[in-house]
This record gives sequence, structure tokens and C-alpha cells, in this order.
Amino acid sequence: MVVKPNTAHNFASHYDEMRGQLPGSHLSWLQALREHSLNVFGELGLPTVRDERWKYTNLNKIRQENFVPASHISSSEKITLSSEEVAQIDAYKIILINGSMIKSLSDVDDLPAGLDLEPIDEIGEEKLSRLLDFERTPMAALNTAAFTDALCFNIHDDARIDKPIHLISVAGTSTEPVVFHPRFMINAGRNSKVTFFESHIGGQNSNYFSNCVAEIELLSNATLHHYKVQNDHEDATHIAASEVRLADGSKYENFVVTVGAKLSRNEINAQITGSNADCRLLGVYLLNGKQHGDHTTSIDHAAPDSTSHEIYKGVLDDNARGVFQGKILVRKESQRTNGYQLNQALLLSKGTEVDSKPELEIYADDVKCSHGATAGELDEDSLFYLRARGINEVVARNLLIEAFIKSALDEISNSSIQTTLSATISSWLSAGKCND
Amino acid sequence: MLEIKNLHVSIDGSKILRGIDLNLEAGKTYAIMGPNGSGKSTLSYVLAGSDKYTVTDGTVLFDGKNLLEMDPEERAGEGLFLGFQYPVEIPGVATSTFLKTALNAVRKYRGEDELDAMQFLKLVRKKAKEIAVSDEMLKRPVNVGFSGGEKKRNEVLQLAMLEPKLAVLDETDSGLDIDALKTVADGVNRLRSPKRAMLVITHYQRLLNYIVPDVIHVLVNGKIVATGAKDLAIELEKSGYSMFADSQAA
Repeated sequence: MVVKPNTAHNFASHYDEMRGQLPGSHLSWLQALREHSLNVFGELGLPTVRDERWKYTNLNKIRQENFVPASHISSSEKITLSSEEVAQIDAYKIILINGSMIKSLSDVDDLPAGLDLEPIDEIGEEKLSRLLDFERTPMAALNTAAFTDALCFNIHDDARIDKPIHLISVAGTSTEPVVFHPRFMINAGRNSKVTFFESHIGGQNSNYFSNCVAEIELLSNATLHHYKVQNDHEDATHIAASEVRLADGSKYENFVVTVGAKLSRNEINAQITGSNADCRLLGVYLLNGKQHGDHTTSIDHAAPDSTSHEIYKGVLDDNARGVFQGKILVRKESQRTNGYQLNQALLLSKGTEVDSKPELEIYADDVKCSHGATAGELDEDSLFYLRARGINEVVARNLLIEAFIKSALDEISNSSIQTTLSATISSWLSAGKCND
Repeated sequence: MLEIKNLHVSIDGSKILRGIDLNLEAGKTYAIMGPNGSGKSTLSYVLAGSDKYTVTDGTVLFDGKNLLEMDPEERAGEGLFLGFQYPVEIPGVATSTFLKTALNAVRKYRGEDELDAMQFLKLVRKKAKEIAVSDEMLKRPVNVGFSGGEKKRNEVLQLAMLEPKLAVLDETDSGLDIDALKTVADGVNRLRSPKRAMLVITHYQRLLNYIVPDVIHVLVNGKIVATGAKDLAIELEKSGYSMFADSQAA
């Protein structure tokens, strides 16, 4: 195989050298999978803006930077998780540094009954990478070739997990440009109920590239609440792809808060394979400076009588750019599908830009699908009204920004998570983190 | 308390106020009456600090300080309150949150301690009861889905909470039926005090039956053309503003 001489090749050569040292190298099936993934990535290369799915997000930053694979961090390393950076929730903590779980910092031994965290050796060929489509997500091919850890959470049938699992991904202390590949899987058994919360922060490193992949499967009537706060360092790159499959009667709720990274993309591809399933993809993005935040979703209704519901709200300041791409596919047999999609952006200054691309592909004739996109500024009359009551301009603007995103936050089913996220966002706004 | 001298104001180049002179004293209630387009609302917005208008000449002193140099929030802190003709609806901000933020902002400005949640709740419940604002209204987003009467009562509640030195009430009667008007007027009258001045802006005499002013000014075409006691309102009600047609042409 001839590998194209491009950035993909740079990555490829690094991982070619490392192959023997990556975890699971003694498993022949995993070796073969990694080799295949690396070849596919070499062929596909880094996505370019000529690719419709990447039309608005340019990966030149990755092309130009010579990212080297992050070295493994020893467990003795001390990290501090400040409450300003990481939401404080009562949860089972799993801490990853440079994409690898640090056992000594994680609650692996205290996990509740009904939940297993499978080591990489036991995941098995039939599960890993099963939901991925490398053609669609080439970055997931790179992740598969290069991940240094893969966390596989299995939730047993009928299990109700009492507290959220909090995955905290931290970049290490290295100051050189590094790349790492957080990888996890969630298999929610029949009738199970569980909440996952992801936090992504920079730690002491600033120039790094976090390339995340999640594979998520919900069996019949499972409920998974999946929340994520991407608060990576403001110079970092964060590319994440989640592949989700929903069986009949299952409920998946995803809420992402994007405030970090210079360049970020949060892609979710969900396939509904059973009836009466409910897929909710929600989020807010708060970007300033030269931040670029891309939220790309695709929902494939491959079964009748299911619903999908999407609300993304963005607040952009300075020269920030927001991207929303939302595809909804309703197959011919997927009658009585109910789909809703909304992307709204609040533009706080003239240099901002939002690109919104809804894409509805409907082949069934008995469906209810609607979508909407708006972009606007803060309402001057509201601002004056608040100021005329003695509220200074900064506080008044923050009140209106919070009011704007509130309708998205209100969609969060878990009320304590909703309260935590609202408070976190509110404190960031008043500290000028995303709207100085 | 408030001294307006030779105030000229325009919007997008067209002149609205053409030399207003006005002195307001504490303890008194004033009315400004005038036809549509006379500049009544412009005057109230300029006093509150709206940046849609340009002051081309004149001065406004509020307790000796230059009001026109202040931001809207500073004016509120100094004790100026504008009751809006059309209170703005703000989805996503609960009325109680708005009231608490506003109250603590002006208290801070005035060097007073901010109220904690319990102190605030106690105070707002007491004042809300007096003006017939329900707990349920306090929970709803600011003015969203409020009836005309509810919106104006919410304005009076804000007035009661913020305890300004000068309250400018812009067309407080617009959109109110007679019962709602009485409730609002009662609320305003209860807030009259020797330390406070009120400036009631209205097109119709009707409101002045309920909020009886000490002095009435008539504003026509951006100028005050007549000043008198409350009888002037009754006279105007009979003859209309056309009696000032001459000065309008001037």
C-alpha cells in the first residue's frame, strides 16, 4: 500500500513505529485492526473542506503542526482539578491523562454492581470498532490505530446505576505539541439506566490535539444520559466522534457544552434501529476570540415510530465561528417518525460567523419533521430596560445570554446536572470566559 | 431635584425637543400632557439614558449632578426611575431574578448592603402583595405573557422596590381598563412621599383623576406651551390640544 505523503503519513509513521508498544499488541485481532485502521486513514487522509461533511471546518491547524504521540503518563503524576474547570458532581470518577486511564486517581475499584469496566484484553474483536464507519469518520480510523487505552463500560440488563460516571480527560504536562486519542465504549443493557458525564480540560499543556471516539449502544428500553463539557485549553484542538445505536424503546440524551479549544468538532452519528426510541441531541456553544466550534449531527431513522429532538444554541463573540450541520434521514419504512431540529446563534460582535446547515432526507410519507435556524444579536430594548433598572451593562448582557441558552439547558432531563451546568456556565459568563 | 435647561433632542437628524425648561422638586407630582408626537416619550427616554436620541443642546442636573453624562444604570443608581410605556418582555429571565439583580445593583451603587435570598424574598412578597402581583407572576419570565395590567403593575412593583427619588411614568395608563388603572394609580399614590418627585406623562386627562398632580405642563411640538394646576387638564379635555395650534406652527 502506498501511503500518501501528507499529514496522514506523519501520523502513520509515528504509529507504525509504535505499534509494538501500544496496549493490546499481543492480541492478533487488535494488531490487525490497528493496521487496517492506519491503512484506511492513510488512504483517506485528514478530511479537507472539499469533503461536504467538513465544508466549514478546516483542519489546517493539524496539518501545519507537527503533533507527536503523547507519551504515557505515570500514575504518580499529580493533577489538580479545580472547580472552575471541572463541574463538581457526585459521581464515580474515571480520570484519563493523555487518553489513558490513571487507575490510582479513578474510582475503578468502587464501581457499583451492574457496571463493569472491561480491560482492553477482554473487549473482544466483535465489539471494538463495530459501530464505526471510517469513510464517514476518518479521524476515528486514526483513533483506532493509535489509542493508548480503550474503556469499555458494560451496564447489565435492568441495572440502575445510582450515580453518574464522570470521565475526566486531561492533557498531560508536556509542553510540546502532542496528540492523544481518548476512546471509550458504553454498552447499555436492556432496561438499564445510566448517566455519563465527560469533562475535557487542558491541565498544564496548551497546544495539544485530543482526538476522541465514543461507541455507544443502547439495547431495548435502555436509558442513557450523556453529558459533556468540552473545556479544553483555548489553544488546543478537540475532534470528537460519537457513534450511537438505539434499539427499540431506548432513550439517548446527549448534551454538550462547548467552551474550550481553538478548533473543535463534536460529531454525533446516531442510528435508530428500533421503534419507540427517543434520541435527543442538545447543546450550547460559547465561543470567543478566534475559536471555531463545529457541531455536526446525523440521525438515521431506520425504524418506524421513533422520535429525535435536537436543539443547539450558540453564543459567539469577537471573531468566533460556529458551525452546525444536522442531517436527519428518514428511511422509507420509518413511518410516523417525529423529528425536530433547531440551531440558534447569538452574535455578540461583527466579526462572528455562524454556518448552519440542516439537511432533511425523508423517504417515508407519514412523518413529522421540522427544522429551524436563526442568528441574531442581543435585543437592544431588553438591554436598555435592564440597565434602566440599575443593572450594569456587563451583568445585563450576561443575563440576556443566559436567558438565550436557558431553553436548551431546560431540555436536560437530569435536574441536578442541569443545575450544575447552569451554574457553571453562569460563573464562566460572569468571569468573562466566553464573552469578554 | 431635577433641573432641565434648554434641552434640545433629535433622533436621526430630526428635532423632537426644542428647548425644554423644567424644574422638579421633591415631594411634588408633575404631569406632562401633550398630543401624540409632541416629544413626551422622547423626554422620558432621554432622562433614562437611551442612546437612540442625541442631545444637541441644553443641560440636565439631577441633584446637582450632570445626568446626561451618566450611563442608564448610573441614573437608576442615583435614583431616577422610568416606568415604561411598553415594558419589555424578556424570555428566560425570571421576574424575581430580575428584581433581585436590579435591587442589589442599586443598593450596591448607593453603598447599601446587598440583600440575600431570604431578605429579598421577604421584601418582594410584602411589596408585591400591596400592588396585587402574585407569587406566580414573580416566577414567570419578565413581562412574558403578562396582560397589559400585569405589565404596568410589574412596573409599579419595580418602582416600589427600587425606591427612586424621581419616578418618570411614561403613559402608565395606556392599554389599561378602568379597574387596572385604579390598581396602578393606587400603587403609585402609595409611593408618593415628601422625598420623592413624580413625573406623570400622559395623553389623556383620565389618569390625572387618579394620580392628581400639583403642576401640569403641556408639551406641544417639543416645547412646553402652558403650565398650570390640575384644572388645566380639564380644560384640555374639553378643548383639545388644538388650542395650542398657533404655538405649534411657531
